[in-house]
Amino acid sequence: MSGVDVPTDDLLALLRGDLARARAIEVVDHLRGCADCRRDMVDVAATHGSLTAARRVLEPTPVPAADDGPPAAHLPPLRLPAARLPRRRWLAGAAAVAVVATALASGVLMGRRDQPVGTVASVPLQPVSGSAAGRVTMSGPAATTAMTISTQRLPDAGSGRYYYAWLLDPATNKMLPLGLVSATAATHFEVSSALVRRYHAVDISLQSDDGNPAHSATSVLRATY
Amino acid sequence: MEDDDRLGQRLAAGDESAVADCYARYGPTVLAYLRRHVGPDEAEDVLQRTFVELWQHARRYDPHRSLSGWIFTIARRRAIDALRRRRPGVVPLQTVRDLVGEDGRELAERFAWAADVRAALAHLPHAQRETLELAYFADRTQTDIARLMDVPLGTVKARMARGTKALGALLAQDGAMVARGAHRIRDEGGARE
Repeated sequence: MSGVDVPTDDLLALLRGDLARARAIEVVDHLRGCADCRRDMVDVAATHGSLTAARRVLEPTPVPAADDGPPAAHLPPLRLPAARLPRRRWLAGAAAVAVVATALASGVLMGRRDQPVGTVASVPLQPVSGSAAGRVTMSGPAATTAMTISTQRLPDAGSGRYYYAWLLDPATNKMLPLGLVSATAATHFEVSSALVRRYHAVDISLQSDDGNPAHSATSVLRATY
Repeated sequence: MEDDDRLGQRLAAGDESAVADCYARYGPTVLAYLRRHVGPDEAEDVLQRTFVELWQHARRYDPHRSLSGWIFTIARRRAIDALRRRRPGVVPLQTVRDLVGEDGRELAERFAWAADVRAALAHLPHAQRETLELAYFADRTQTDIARLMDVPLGTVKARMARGTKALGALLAQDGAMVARGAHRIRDEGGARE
């Protein structure tokens, strides 16, 4: 063991390459003969390795100006549903018809224009065909979900055609009609939260005004929630 | 600092405030992971889905498994879902390679480890944390740090030494540097076990 004094900070400086060459040689010579310092080195190396590994996957942090204070991490607020959402798949196709009929009869699906309060989910509408975009925002108390559908770059539907919103279960392709969607303004619906929980996507289709109420198979936008 | 074991036990017991604590602790690193894979436009939505799923399946969490590993297992699945929803041909091949298969699992594990390091750093005294962050996350030398913080070089060395020792103890306490069984990021299992 050499007679030089090796403080812990020199062990870290050695690993980081911060020591001058002469001092690095002294420290290494000392470590070769000092079991206590080698044990300390193991702890220092483990932490240095963890920090270096973290640095490799995380973005570099800009150095703040002297009067900036610590940089604030950008993290959007967490929005949890109002109640636990059991992810049960609803497989009975015939039941879908009954649900639609019941929902329409009881008025739980209604186009509305008042603004929802208290957002609990907000998901982007992605283009299925074309280049439009948009967003579906859901909010409200546990029993009823206020759903707002806003779109951008949705072209004019044209004469005899219209845009229509559906709840969709991508696993079964089961669909529930919501209502007409405006290409130029946000559209609001009030939907039973129990129904919302049974589906996992919102689909916007381009429909022909031909008396056929079924989905046209021309989807233009879709959002999964 | 509340260690991961205790936070995980609260989560498994259905304590909903534990989800918010997980979000505060791991959310920034999960967001960095998702930005890398699904892009900045969709990352925040996938982040929400990840933590909503964590909340929905909280009681399924096994406290013997790594908490950060479990969270990144969910995040990785949701990122893969997000890419699958995109039209064919619009997802770069390298992005897919970074997410799926063994490479994807290894990268998610690296992020989980980084999240544990970031969480532990947050519990150091401010001066030690800032010194280590400048050294490791801003690639600054000790001399640079002394100038930036307007303190003697010896103070920087001392803060780094004390911070490294304290951080090592926190990581050992959290199991971040201790092997745990059934700990790996994996395709099967996780939140839908």
